[in-house]
Amino acid sequence: MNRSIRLAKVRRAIGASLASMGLIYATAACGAGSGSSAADRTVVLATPTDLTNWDPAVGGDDLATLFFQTVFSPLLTVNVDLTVSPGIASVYSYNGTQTSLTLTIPAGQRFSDETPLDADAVKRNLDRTMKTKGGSATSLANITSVTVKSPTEVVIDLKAPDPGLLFALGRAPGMMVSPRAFGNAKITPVGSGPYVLDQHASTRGSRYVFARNPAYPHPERYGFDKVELRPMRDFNAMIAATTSKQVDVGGVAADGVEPAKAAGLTVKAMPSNVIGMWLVDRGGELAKPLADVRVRQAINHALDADGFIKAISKGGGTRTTQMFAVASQSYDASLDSRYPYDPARARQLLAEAGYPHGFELKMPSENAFEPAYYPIVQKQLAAVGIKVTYIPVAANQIADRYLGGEFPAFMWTYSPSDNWLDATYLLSKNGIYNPFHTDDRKVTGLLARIQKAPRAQQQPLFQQLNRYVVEQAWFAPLNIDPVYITWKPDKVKGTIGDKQMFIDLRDFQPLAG
Amino acid sequence: MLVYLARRVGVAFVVLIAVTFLTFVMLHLLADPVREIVGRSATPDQVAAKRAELGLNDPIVSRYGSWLADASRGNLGTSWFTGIPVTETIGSALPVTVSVALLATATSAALGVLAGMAAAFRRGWIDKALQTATGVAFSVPALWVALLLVIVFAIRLHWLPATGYTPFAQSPLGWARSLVLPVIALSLSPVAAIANQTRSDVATIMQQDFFRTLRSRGLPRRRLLFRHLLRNAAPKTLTIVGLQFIALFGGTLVVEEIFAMPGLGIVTGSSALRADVPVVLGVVLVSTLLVVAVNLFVDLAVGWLDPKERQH
Repeated sequence: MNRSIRLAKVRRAIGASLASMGLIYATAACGAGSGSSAADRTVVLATPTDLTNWDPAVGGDDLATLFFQTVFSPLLTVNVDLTVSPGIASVYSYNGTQTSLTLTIPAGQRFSDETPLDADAVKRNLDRTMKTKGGSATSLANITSVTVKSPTEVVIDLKAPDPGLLFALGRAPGMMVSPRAFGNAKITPVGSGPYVLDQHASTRGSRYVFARNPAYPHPERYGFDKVELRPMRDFNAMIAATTSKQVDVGGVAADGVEPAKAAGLTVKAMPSNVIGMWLVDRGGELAKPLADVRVRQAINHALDADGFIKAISKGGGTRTTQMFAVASQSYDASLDSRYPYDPARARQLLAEAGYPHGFELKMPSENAFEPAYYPIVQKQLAAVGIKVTYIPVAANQIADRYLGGEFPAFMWTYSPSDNWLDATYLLSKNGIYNPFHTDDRKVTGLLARIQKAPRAQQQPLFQQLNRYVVEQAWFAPLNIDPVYITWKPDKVKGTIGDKQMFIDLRDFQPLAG
Repeated sequence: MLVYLARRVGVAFVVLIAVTFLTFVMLHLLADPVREIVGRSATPDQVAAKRAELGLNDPIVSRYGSWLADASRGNLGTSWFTGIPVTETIGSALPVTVSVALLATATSAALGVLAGMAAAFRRGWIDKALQTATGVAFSVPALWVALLLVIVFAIRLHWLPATGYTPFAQSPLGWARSLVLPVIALSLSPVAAIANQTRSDVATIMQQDFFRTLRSRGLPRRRLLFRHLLRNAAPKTLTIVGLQFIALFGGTLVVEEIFAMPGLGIVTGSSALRADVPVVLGVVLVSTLLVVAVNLFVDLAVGWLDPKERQH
């Protein structure tokens, strides 16, 4: 081939490429923005994370629950006010010692692959979850056996009373997978929920499309015929998708609230996260001063929660002194005024504890979650004499190092849920968020009493526990940092309560007609 | 040529081993995935069992050896977290990244070469404008450009989607629409680099005696431009284009995040954070192979265009 022919070919190739690129740009710019119209009864929701895998037996957080509840039904239902009501099980009851839970599974229920959802399927699911390594198995760790009494009745026996079990059965550990789909449960979800995953229309990591499950017995609870979940890890992406109305339901950070409102979206704040300083070395192993309750109280007085809310949360948070959920039975609004910002009182408490000139405190810092807090915390503690030195920690090492007992105190964003789970995680001697295994006789005693009490009698005990922990200043919570949910009011009717902490698919319904 | 190829393949093999081994060691040192897999509240027995199941108690060299042996048979393993085979994960993410990187490279090459030639050929205000524009393009980060494009074309004008990726097979138009903003955001800096290189090369060639002679003979402008000028400037420009493709391929993470596109950058980021070793190693292997292949292609193309290079 001579050179001129070769060059001609190169030129033609370049020309063709340019032409096709021009065509791409020209055709791509045509048409209006995407999203769904009101008539097609499709709702598009943005989620801040992607689902790791589809197997509820492995476990997952509240965001995973949003994915799970499209295709799976739980044995019980956790309502947005954290109460529990029937789910797949129409009736549930404990025996007198709270160690045996009987569930009634109404006849006629089926998975989307037509496999019967009966007591046997429930047993096989729970047995499998208990053997699967992951968070769900931990939630069911108290179960000793699951017995099928009849096709409509299953009995769960426990080693000891477990006040967190009902909540767990309403979340991932209680989501039922078709036994025929166990082998591929991580990849292909087959459940009995309101929708089924349309694998063909979905693009993993980008767009999950769900169509109605014809076998679902209560379609009236979910108004949309089609649901789309779109993971967006980057908050700028989420804000852009929300304000450009590419998605019907989304979320924004505090900075995005006004632009979202200006774009005509409804914005609702959910009190989901408690941001604060955790004073975990309560025995004074690494930082001796923290063993003194007056020092811990001084730290609570030294931090200006209202200032953080104004400066960082753009006025959107609420000051708090508590770790429990606002909607929960433990929460006591009167406790939130226990530690007003009062540096003089902080200095006085430090002096009474024998630290009139303060002390040095080593804390970790990170860039992934709340970097804006660190310099302000350091400055405010320095104002009362506590000199904080930060040790940078990589994002993927935060959990291991913070919860491994390497630091006496650290900043943490916690999402509370069920009171019993929070109490056992945060306060019990072997709780995963109690890295120094603080063992307080009063806390242990109250936890033991709550464990044995029927659910209806737990509230005063939980409140007593909460009051005690606040008084002992185990933590220095600053503010309840809201998560802002947005939706298109001309397309979606959203119902989110003031104290609601997580969203449920049923919160969003099509507008009438 | 065969010796040259064999030598390049040999070097590529060494690079592959070095890169994957270093990645393997770094993942081992930086993070422990077991706690993430079994849950924070798992018992020490559960943690130990999972550790043994994943082979994490074996010496690092032996673990790497096993991975390499499997990889050489085309088996990249399964994600420790998602349960999806690594080849499948890469297979779904690679088209996204390659689409963005290829289109951005093609756009940059086309615009960069045209702008560079125009500046060198016409001089005057076009040249000055190009110098200013490339200076600006170099200094503006892709992240900022991406956000600006989203605000203007997605939020204000509603012309294009703010986020998401549509596979070509699902909808060619949707695919194109989902790529326009990411490609423009990524192309700005490479356009500047290619334009500068082209301008410089073309200007140099235009000063050379052979070109002046050809010009004085009154050769048709088109022939002069394509046959003599462009062909002589092509090798260096092609090298720059190849380097830009590699840079774009590795740098798509920012736009993938901002435009919520499920590409290799997102896969690598999330897998590296939780130390999903099989996925990270698979991505590193495929990316390295791609880089090696592109370099080889550029070298061969340059050799084809420039006989002097072939002799080297």
